[in-house]
Amino acid sequence: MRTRLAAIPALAALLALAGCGGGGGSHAAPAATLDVIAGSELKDVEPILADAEKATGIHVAMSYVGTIAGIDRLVGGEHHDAAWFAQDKYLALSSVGASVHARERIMLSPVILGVKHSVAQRLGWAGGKRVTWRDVQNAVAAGRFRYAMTNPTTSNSGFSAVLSVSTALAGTGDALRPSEVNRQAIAAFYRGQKIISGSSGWLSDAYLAAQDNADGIITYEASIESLNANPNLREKLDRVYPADGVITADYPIDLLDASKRDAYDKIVAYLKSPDVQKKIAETTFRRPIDKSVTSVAAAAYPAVLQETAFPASAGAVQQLLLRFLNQDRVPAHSFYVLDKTGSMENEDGTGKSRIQRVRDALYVLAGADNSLTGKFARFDNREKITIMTFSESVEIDKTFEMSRPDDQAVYQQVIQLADSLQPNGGTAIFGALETALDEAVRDEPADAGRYASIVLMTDGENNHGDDYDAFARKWQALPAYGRQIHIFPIFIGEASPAELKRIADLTGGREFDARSESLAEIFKEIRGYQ
Amino acid sequence: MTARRVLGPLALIVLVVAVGFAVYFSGRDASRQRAARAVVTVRGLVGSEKEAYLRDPRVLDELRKNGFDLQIETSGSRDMANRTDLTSYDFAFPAGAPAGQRLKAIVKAKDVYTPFFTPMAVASWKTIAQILVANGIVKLDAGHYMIVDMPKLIAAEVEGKRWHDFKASSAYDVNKSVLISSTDPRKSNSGVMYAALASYVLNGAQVVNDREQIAHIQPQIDGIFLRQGYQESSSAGPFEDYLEIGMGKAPLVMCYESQFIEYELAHPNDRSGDKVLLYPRPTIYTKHTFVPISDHGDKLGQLLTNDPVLQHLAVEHGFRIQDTAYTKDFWKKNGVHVPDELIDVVDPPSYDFLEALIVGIEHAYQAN
Repeated sequence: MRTRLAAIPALAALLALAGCGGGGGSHAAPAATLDVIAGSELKDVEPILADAEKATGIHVAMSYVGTIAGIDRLVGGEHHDAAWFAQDKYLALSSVGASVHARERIMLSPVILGVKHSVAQRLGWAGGKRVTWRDVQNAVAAGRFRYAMTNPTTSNSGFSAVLSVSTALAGTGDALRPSEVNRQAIAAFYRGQKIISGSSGWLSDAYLAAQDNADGIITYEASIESLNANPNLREKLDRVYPADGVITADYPIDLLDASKRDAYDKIVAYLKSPDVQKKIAETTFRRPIDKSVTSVAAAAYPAVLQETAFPASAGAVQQLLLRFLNQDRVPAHSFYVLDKTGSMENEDGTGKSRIQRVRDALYVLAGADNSLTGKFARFDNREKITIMTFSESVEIDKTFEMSRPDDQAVYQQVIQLADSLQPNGGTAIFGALETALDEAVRDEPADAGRYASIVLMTDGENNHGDDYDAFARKWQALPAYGRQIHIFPIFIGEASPAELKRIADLTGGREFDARSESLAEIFKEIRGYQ
Repeated sequence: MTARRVLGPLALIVLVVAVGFAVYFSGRDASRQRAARAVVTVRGLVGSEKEAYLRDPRVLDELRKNGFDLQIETSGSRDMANRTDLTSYDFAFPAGAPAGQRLKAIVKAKDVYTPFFTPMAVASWKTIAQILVANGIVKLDAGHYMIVDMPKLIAAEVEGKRWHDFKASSAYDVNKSVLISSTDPRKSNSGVMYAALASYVLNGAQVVNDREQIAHIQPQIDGIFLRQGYQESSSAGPFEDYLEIGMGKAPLVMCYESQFIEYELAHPNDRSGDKVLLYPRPTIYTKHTFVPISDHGDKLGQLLTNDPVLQHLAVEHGFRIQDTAYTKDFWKKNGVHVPDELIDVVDPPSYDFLEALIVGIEHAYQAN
């Protein structure tokens, strides 16, 4: 009896040996890893990918990045097995397009308007009424609709919206050419943008934090439904689908490394299976790609949406975006409050001093970076830039105004200023911020509706002048305009992340950690919020 | 102690028996394969519209029985001719005779094969078809399928007609131009076939056969492509727009008849009648042209053309084969209603003229 029982495991072990190479068990190490460069909003499919690993043995390792920044990296030679973004048209039009071996769409989400229910009723947009982008533009021009939207040069949802509204207002009926943009109409439309963000995820947070400053949000249908499910939302958002065209993100996975075909096929087959499609619809609010799959979430969406055509070439896309930055958007007044204390000499083991990293980052904004993200990150035509440096008090305080795209005169002055930075002295963070805010408020009449923001870069803890509490009290006393200015703190070195986060939270900004990342890349990323 | 002494020999017996079985089975497998004949691996470049067929396990089984282990990579039909590594493949299998002829010349193939073919068609929607019927552009033929009058449709495209300009268009009341969506003709055969068909229509129902004619119609041809905006580089793309995003994105899609039939056969429950296939008149055939590069490739080409199992499986993927009786019967049995034969089929321009037309479109893109 005992011997027979003992023999069974021996046989099982043998059979397992004979069968090796077949599908591994769920507890074993993954059979293969698929390394995927992915859009940051795809973090919400992580639970589904964990299930996929149990079912297929394939581990999907996601590296998150913005769409355009991701393409920059791929064009620069960074290797990934696959790419997964909201759409792959940018990618297909780039030099990486030729190395796409397969593409499979996984799910859908159109970029539409979420409008506060009371506002929708007031504007006559409630109850599925036919609304066009022209109607939206008219409401904006009349001061009756203010919205949140991402920056189209860093985020796909903003880009999709800009493309749809520009195409509709141009009215040609064809795919948009940059020369056909209706400048007056589109500039009026942009004046309604009251909340800006570099990514759609942060846009939802920013909207929740400042619900009184906007009447609605232009973003993915999925993000609107997700907001509607959020207990912190004070007024439900009606979904409004412009009848003259929207752009639907179709989330294709592009296979870039042909040797990973097997793993790719398995993951795609898993994600497209009916049960998983249903789960995607129910947990992410995106629409299933498989039309035979029904879910409560997807059933509430209209069946037919007019789609806006995408431009024919990468050149047209770039021109359209540069036009937005240099000509049609509400111009910015960007404040840079930069730490130049003695500790900025430290190299942190990088071989480059902190102050040199600041110089490099400023060079990028002054035209030195020729990548796609670099071109979009440069100071824009009409932009006002104030650069302040501080130690125990504000030292340099200079304001420049761009008078043309790629204004070399301004670029040269910024580069000279960067070169002149010399580290010394103690750290008075709050005093410097107070000076910047006072200047912004002082400039309000002259700035006439500019979008002001403050970037704060520091490497140490505040040790001079006002502390956080004193700053917060002064901030509360600012006029409304001053309290709408977001502050984006960047920390390196010994700076206190907790204290800087408090500044970001107070002012509706966002903190960035440059301790282990390139300061220049972070400066570029923040351009999406200015 | 006792248990272990007993266990040892027993385990050994189990081991011997098990190994014996393993050896026996693997030996039997090998001899079976030898009986079949040695299997050689053949590698080829194929157009995406044949990918589902050439990855169908039944097709791969039949090929293996005949001594071939197939490995494919997909490529745009027009891109194949520009590759410098063609000799590392056993065959190229583009869509369309023009790409086939070009590749034949490049690899100096003796013969090419046309195992199956398919007409170009326009995938559309009942709502859209009704508007086009009301405007005299589409008519019902023989009660079953719809014919689209290409000279009238292309005239509407060229003159910049919008959907809301049509009468009885309230169900699709939009300011968008009436345009067929196609693939990028610089990369993909189905876009090229659309350009060929449009060139015939715009040239006054004549195949273009000189440069002057091309120069004359080029601006109109450029317009119907460029005004579409971004175009996918393989025929799967616009057809997926049609299936997955729907009428708002893709009211009219230039496709292969085989794509539509393949979808219908695979989705017997999706026969609501919302999706309709319009047959252009005149239309144009895509002959799937198999170009052998190696001797093994040549044998594979013969097999795909002559093996009845492989031919019948092609019909299940929507392609038309020489045995029209089989095709007709199979589709009828499976509820696919398509015309048995198409009339008014035109030839594409000869390779050089077609190429000149596409290069013209290429220049227009660069100037866009």
